[in-house]
Amino acid sequence: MLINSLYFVALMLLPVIIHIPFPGKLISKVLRKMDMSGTLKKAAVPVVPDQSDAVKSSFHRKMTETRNMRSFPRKGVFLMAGIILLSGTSCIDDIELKLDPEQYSRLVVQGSVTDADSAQTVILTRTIPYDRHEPNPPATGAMVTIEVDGTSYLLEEVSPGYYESRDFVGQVGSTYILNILYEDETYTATSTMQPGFELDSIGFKKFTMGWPADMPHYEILIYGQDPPEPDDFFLFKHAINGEWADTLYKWSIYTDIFNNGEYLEGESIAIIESRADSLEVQVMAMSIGEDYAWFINDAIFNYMPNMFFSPPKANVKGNLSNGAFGFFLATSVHFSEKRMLYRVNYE
Amino acid sequence: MEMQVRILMILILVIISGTGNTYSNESGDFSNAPLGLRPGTEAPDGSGELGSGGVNASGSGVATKVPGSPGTRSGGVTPPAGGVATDAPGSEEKSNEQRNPVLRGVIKDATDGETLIGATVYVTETGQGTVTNAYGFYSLSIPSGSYNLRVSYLGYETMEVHITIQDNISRNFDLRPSSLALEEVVVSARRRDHNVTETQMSTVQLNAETIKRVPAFMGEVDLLKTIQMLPGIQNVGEGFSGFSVRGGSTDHNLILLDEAVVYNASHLLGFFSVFNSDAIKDMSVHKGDIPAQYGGRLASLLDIRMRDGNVKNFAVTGGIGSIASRLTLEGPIVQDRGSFMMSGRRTYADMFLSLSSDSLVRNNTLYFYDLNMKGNYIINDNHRIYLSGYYGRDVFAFQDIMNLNWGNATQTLRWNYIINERMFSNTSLIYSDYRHTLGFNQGINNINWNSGITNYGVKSDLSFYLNPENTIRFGTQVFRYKFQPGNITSGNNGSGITIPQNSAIEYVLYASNDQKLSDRLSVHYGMRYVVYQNMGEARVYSFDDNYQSTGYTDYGRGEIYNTSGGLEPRLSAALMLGPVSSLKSSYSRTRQYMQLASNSSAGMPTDVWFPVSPNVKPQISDQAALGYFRNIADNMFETSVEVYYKNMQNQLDFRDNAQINFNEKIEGEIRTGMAEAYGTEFMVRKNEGSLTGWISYTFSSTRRKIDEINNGDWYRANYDKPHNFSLVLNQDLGRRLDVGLNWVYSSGAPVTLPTGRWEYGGVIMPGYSERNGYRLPDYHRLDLSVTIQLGMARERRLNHELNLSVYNVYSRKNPFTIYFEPQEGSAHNMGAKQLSLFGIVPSVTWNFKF
Repeated sequence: MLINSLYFVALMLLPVIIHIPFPGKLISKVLRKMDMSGTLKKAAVPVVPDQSDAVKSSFHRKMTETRNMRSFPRKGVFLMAGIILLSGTSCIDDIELKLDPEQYSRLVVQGSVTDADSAQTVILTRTIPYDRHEPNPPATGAMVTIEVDGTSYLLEEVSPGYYESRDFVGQVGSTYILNILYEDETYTATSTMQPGFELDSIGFKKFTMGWPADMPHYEILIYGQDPPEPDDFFLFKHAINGEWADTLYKWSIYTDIFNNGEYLEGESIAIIESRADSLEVQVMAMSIGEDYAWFINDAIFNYMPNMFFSPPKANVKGNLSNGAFGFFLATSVHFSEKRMLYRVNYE
Repeated sequence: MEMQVRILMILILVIISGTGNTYSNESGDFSNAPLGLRPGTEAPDGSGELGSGGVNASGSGVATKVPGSPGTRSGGVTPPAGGVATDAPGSEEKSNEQRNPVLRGVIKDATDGETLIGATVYVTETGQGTVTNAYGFYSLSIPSGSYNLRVSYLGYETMEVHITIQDNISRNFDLRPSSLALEEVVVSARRRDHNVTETQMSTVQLNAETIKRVPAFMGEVDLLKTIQMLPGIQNVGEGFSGFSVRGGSTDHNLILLDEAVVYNASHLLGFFSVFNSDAIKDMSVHKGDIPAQYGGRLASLLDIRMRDGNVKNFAVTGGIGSIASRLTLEGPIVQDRGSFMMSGRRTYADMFLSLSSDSLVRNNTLYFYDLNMKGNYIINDNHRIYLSGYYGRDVFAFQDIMNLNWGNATQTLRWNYIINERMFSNTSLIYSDYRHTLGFNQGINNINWNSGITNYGVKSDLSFYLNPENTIRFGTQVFRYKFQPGNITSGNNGSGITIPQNSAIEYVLYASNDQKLSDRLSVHYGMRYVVYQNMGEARVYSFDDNYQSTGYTDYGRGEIYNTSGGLEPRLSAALMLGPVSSLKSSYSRTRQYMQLASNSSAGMPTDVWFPVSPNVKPQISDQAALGYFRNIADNMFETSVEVYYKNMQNQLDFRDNAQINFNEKIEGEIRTGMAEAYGTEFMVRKNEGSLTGWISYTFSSTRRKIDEINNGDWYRANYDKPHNFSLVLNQDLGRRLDVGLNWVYSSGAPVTLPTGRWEYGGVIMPGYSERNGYRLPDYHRLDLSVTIQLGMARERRLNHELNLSVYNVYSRKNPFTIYFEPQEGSAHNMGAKQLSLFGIVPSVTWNFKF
């Protein structure tokens, strides 16, 4: 009897012994990592409307980020998987892989036409085997032209792989055709410039949910009128102290497919973390088409370290013909005023 | 379509009229066939086995115990008898004119009254024998005379009885567990040579005892993990309960719990299954040659039956494990006439979360629970009813920010009715439901996503024991399905967005016959006919050749807007090559009318089921298999080799970078093509003695070809692992100690790895040239367990045991996935990382019974 009771007590304790110490630190670390890659932040906060928002529109506003909505189940499950696995005995190791070198090198295009007062640029590079840890080589000696309304402009190679033209400025509503002749292959892409988004102002809000908890987090909010055309997509980028956050997972995409023509009053477009006393913040709004919105979406998914439940890996397809990677985008660009963010205001 | 119905009707008539003997209502055996139909189809030959037992059976017998008075006449009313009896070889008496008397009854466990599925009754003098069916019934026709009967069941003491038969009689037998029962692993409870003699192939049956003796992950006995060690069945990822059968996808498996469909059998993202081993009586898995009674999934049938509960005494069993505890109560409602069983399980890992000092960890919720309930009552000799249900939920919440819940609910009401001596019927009302909720909260704003599937319906199955050579089964089913892909609400004002729900109705008609053509040759043939109709209200999008939506049509409530269906033939044959060996072959066609929108290799609880439609055709699979079965050393060892080839049409995949959540035009993301699979499966199993277990090896290949995927070239399916080896052993070391061991080895799962790189938006993007072109490193793992009996059964006091399990004993780092991430230092340095889920995981479980 006594022995049985002892057994019982020991058994009750065993699980405790087995499960402790709990690697809480590890969890925080990994969550932060997920956060960095855009997973968690989006999961936790699909979009955070200003509290003062009209209740009526808050739901639609949440729906606006198609990208977030459609991916949020995955993120939710991610989070759960993270918690389960990290509290267990899982581990992550570096491994050596032997990857077959690519059969052939593909052309990569990053091209844009804007209505801002700057050069129209097309950057051409080539793919390299995945395990070559070096910059992609430029594709030099290509003939690059952009055609609009029957006129064709030749872009000049100002540095290796870097083609530009200052002969024209983009216009909303025009359709641009990119033609590239490179090593006897031709590649084309077409893009129509959509109406831009006029930024009236930007604002900030303290974000309470970030990790680590003692790091100040802020949301950047935008104010402005959505243009009357339906099915607009906009890409917002932000700059801190003059430096544009130009990595794609820091960008934010907005669509008005559920609430066209509304005035955006404090739409959150980014969450930043900083211990600085003051920051200078600026936001850029670019009009994009739905195809580019999906391109960015797919690119983020394929870039992110996908530990669990990953969808089948597949190439991210842009709008170029003939198997070239990348995208050619005609975009209307608007900048906000620069505004200072003082930490003391949010403490 | 009408034509096809007519064909089916004709087929039924042909079967009935063609099988030779007319039947006379008086005696004869009949049995019930379980709802499950044909499990075993059997027609064995040689001895009369009936095969049915196993598979499907539901649990208990219909009949009650009629005391056996020999000699009792049973006219129609007697307790049903059971087994499908086929009869014996020897008795070739074409009993047309004079039918032999029939001996029938129920075989039960003497201690708790649980009916025994697959117990044997053997007539020493004639060599005839039969086996109890799913309800514990047997039925045997033998010439009048005096005989010695041997009644036996693995793990029980064999009973020798002398009887004199002149007229139909009914005898029930209660077998006592042998003293070794606790230590003995009963891999198969059925006739010792059933694997050779039955027509049925590609089938494995396991009972709860076997499953409990296999070393378990975290000490949670898991049926789905156990079947993954059988040949032809592969797991979909380390630790996951999802499985792939002979190259099928995870949604190609029909999982039934007391006949109700379980749509998602996983807990905790799949690390555990929803089946609580304490509530399970018996399980069988069909990897092919699925009985005509079942359908709707391409690859397999996993038929799980819950225990009925002890009809003699009140009993409590339970266990306390490392992550979960279990408690089961059972007992008679009315002594020997009705019983109940209630079993619950809950994990408590989340309680440890609250011990953490880190608030990030502390404020989380993470648990699951299951509740199984069953009751049965014998109304009279001819009627018995069962009511069973399951309810389980997973609950996860993260910091008040996010919550994710999911679970299944099933209910089955069954009525066994013995229409007459040769005809047994079962009618079931079935309900099952799966749903999940995912919510995000942020201040006053929140979003909730609800999605689910519900189906309910009725099925009626009849078994007609025409004569010893023919057992005919036929039946009909009508099911209604409701699909709710997505319903999103905001807590503020109830506004929301709903992707329209839609529904479908399915009509099924089937018939089959197990026929013994001679002592050596028996065949099974069956046909299943399904009409599947999509029903409004629904919005159906149409798509052009480029999968772009060209508009939609709305259909009103109850309006039928799409009808699909077809015939599904099932054929098999067994040829005895000698007393201990046989050659079997089978062909079956299966069709599937609904599928899971899943875009990840392992499957997520948020995956949504959706039906065929004007845009999505039913999936079709044709499978042919050939097998050689031989028992060695007086049936001590069962060996088998099976070869299969499978061709699958209208296989679904999603386009690259598909959007499958909240997408009302999801059908535009689907790409269809074909798949083929083939393989060879070897198995050696030892069911008796102090060392029991099995060794299996599978060589297999599964490929898919879909025009828009992988440039239209063939590619490896996600679960294509050519080599699979499993060793499952259990050594009984005396009365108190029992040691279990598994070792599994398989080729690595296919993965897609980048071949090229490019840069965009400041990050390095992967470029791929072939889907699933690489493999993960090989997978292997050793598990051990020791079970120590702390109190012995026999006497009626506390009987308890301690189980120590170690998962992944040598802590092999098996890769779950490989991914790349930027390395410190250089922006261009992407490092390959391997995630291994589980190192060595010890656990302790204490089980008790009193």
